[in-house]
Amino acid sequence: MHLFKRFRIYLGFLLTIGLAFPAGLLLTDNNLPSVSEFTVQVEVHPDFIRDQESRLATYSDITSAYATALKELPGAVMERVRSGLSESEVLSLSANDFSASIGRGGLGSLAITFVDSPGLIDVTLKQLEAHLAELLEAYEFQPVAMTNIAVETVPQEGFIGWQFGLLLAAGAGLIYSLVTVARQAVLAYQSKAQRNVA
Amino acid sequence: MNNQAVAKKSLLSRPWDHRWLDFLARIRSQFMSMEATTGSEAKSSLSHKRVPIFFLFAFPLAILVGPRVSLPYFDQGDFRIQDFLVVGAILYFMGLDFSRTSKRAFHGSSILLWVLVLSAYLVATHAIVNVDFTVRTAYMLRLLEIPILSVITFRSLELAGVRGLRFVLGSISLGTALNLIWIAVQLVMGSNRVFWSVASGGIEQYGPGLVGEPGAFPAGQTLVILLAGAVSVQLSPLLQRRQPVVLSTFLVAGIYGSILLTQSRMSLGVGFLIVAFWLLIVLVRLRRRNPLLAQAIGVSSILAAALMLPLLPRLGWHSIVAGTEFRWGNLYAPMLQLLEENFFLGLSVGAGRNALGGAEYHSLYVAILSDFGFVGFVIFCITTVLLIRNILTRLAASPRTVVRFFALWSLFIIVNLLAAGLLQSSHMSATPTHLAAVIIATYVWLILAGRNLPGPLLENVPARGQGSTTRLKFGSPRETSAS
Repeated sequence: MHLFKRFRIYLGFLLTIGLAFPAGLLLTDNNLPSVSEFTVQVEVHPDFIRDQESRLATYSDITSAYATALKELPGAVMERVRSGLSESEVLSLSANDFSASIGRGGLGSLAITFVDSPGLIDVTLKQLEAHLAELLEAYEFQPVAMTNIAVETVPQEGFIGWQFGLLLAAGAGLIYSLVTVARQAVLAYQSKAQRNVA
Repeated sequence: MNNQAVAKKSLLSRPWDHRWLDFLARIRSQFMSMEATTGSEAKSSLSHKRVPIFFLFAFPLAILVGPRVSLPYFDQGDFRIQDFLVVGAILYFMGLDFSRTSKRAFHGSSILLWVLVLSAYLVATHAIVNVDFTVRTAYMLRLLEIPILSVITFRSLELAGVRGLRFVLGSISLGTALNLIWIAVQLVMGSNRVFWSVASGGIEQYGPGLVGEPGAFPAGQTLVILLAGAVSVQLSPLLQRRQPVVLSTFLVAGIYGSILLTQSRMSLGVGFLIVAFWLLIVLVRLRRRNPLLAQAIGVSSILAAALMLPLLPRLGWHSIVAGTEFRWGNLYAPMLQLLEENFFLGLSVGAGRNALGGAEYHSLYVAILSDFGFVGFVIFCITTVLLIRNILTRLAASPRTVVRFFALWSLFIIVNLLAAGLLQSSHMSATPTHLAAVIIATYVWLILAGRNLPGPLLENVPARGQGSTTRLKFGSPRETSAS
C-alpha cells in the first residue's frame, strides 16, 4: 500500500508533465504575419549649401545648422515612425526593431541608413518615403537619391512548439509538486490532531 | 551575573511593563559591554569575537522603516538607508575575515559573501569602465543585493547567537509599529508630510506613499510581509501564554487596512488569503469554546468582505482582465519570443529588459526564464518545492516554537512571492525583498546554526525526543516517528 502511494505520486507527476507538453505543442501559435526587413539608404543634399553659395548665410551658421540637422534628422524619422504606435507598443519596442544611422555622402550630402528588423514596428518603404519627404522639407534638405539596398520578407515565427511545451510542462510540474506537498502537510496535521484526540 | 539572571526569565512570560524594562536594560548592557555572548551561549557560537551590534540592531529596523533618501545633486531619488548600511556591513565582515586567525575565518557563509561582493564589484566596474549604466546594471546590482543581505543577516546571527535573534524580533516589531504610526501620520497630514517626502518628484503613485516606497505594489508587499508576521505570531505558540486577542485583531486589521490604502491589487489578494487563513484557524479554535460566537464572527466576516468589494475601484474584473491582456501581449509574449536566442540558458541577467527598452518584466517567472533560461527555471522550481517541503516539515515537527514561527512566516512570504510573481516582478522591489531576505535568512540560520543554542526563546517547549513528532516525507504522508 505504502509503495503504491509513493508510486502513485510519481505517476501523477509524470502524467501532469506528459499532458502539459503536448498541450504546449497544440497551443503554439505559428501564424504571425510576416514582416519586411529592409535597409534603405537616403542621400540628401542640404539646401543651405546653396544659401552659402549665394552669400545668404555665414559659414558658421551653415555648419552649425548642418550639424544640428545631421544629429536630428534620423531621430525625427524614428519619432515619426514611433508616433504611429500606441503607448503600450512603444513600451515593448525592441531597441533594434527600427534603427537609423547616419554617415556622409559625397559633396556635402549625408547618407542615412534605416534598418527595419522583425518586430513590432513594420514600416513599408512607401511609409518611410512619405515621412522622409515631409521631414526633408522641414529641415531644408533636398533628397538626392533613395537607394533601396535590401528588402527581405521574413516569416515571423511564433513560439517554437517544443519550447512552449517544455515551459508548460515545467510550470505544471511545479504546481503539481506544490499541491502534493501541501496536501501531505494537511494529512500529516490531521493525523497528528487525531492522535492528540485519541 | 545580572545579565544571566535576566536572560533566564522568559521575556514573554512577564507583565508588559517589566518586559519593556528588561528589554531596555538588556540593550543597554549589550551596548556597554560590546562582548559577543555570555554564559552558556559562549560555548555554542563564535563567541570570541565582538558582535556587530550596530548592524544587528540597525538592519532589520532600517529595512522596515527605510525611507528613500533623495539626493537632488545626482538627480537620483532611489537610495535607501539600507543601501548605505549594506556597504558598511560588507566592509565590517570583510575586515573581520582579515583580522581573524582562527580556522573559521573563511567558512561557508564568509566565502559566499566574498563571491557575491566580487560579482557585484565586477558588474559595477564593468558599468563604470564602459560608461554603461543601463537598466540592466541596476537590475543586476539589485538582484545581488538580496543574497548579500541574507548572508549578512546569517553571519550576524552566527556571531551573536540567540541574542541576535531577539534583536531581529524586537527590531521587526518596532519597525511594524513605526510603520503603522507613519501611515496614520500620512493619513492625517495628507501631502504635508512632516518628516520626509517619499521620493523625488515625478514618480506617479496611487494611494498614500507608504513605508518609503513610491509604488503601490512594493508598499503593499511590505505590508503583506508584516501582516504575515503578525498572523504567524498569533498562530504559532510564540506568545501562547498571554495572548491579547483584541490587540492582535487590531494589529491584523490595521495592517490590512494599510494594504487597502496602497490599492495594490495583488497585495490585497494575497493579504486577503492570509487573513482568511488566520480567521479560519482562530474560528476553529474558538468553536471549541463558543460555537455560536464563532459562527456569528465567521458569517459577518464573509458579509463584510462581500460588501467591501465594490468599494475598491481598481479591483474590477475588467481592469484585471485588461491588465493581464496588456502584460501578455506587450511584455510576456515578446520576451518569450526573444528567448529563442538561447532557450536553455536565457539571455543573461537583465538583457531581456534592455532589449525591450527597459520595460519591467512584470512577472517573476518570465524574469527567471529571460535571465536564466529553461535550466534556471527548472532549478528554481525544484529549489522552491524543496524549500516549501522543508518548511512544512519544520512546521509540523520542530519542537521549538521560534522555529515554527519563522517557518510559518517564511512559508507565507514564499507563497506571497510565488502568487504576486504571476503578474508582478515580486523579486525586484527593494523593501519587501530585503525584508523577506532577512526573515528567510533567520529561518535558515535557525535550521543550520541555531540548532544547539540554548536561551529563553528556544526553551519554552519540550526538547526534541520527548513526545512524538510527525515527519513529512514525500510519498509517505502519514509516517510518524516516536523517538
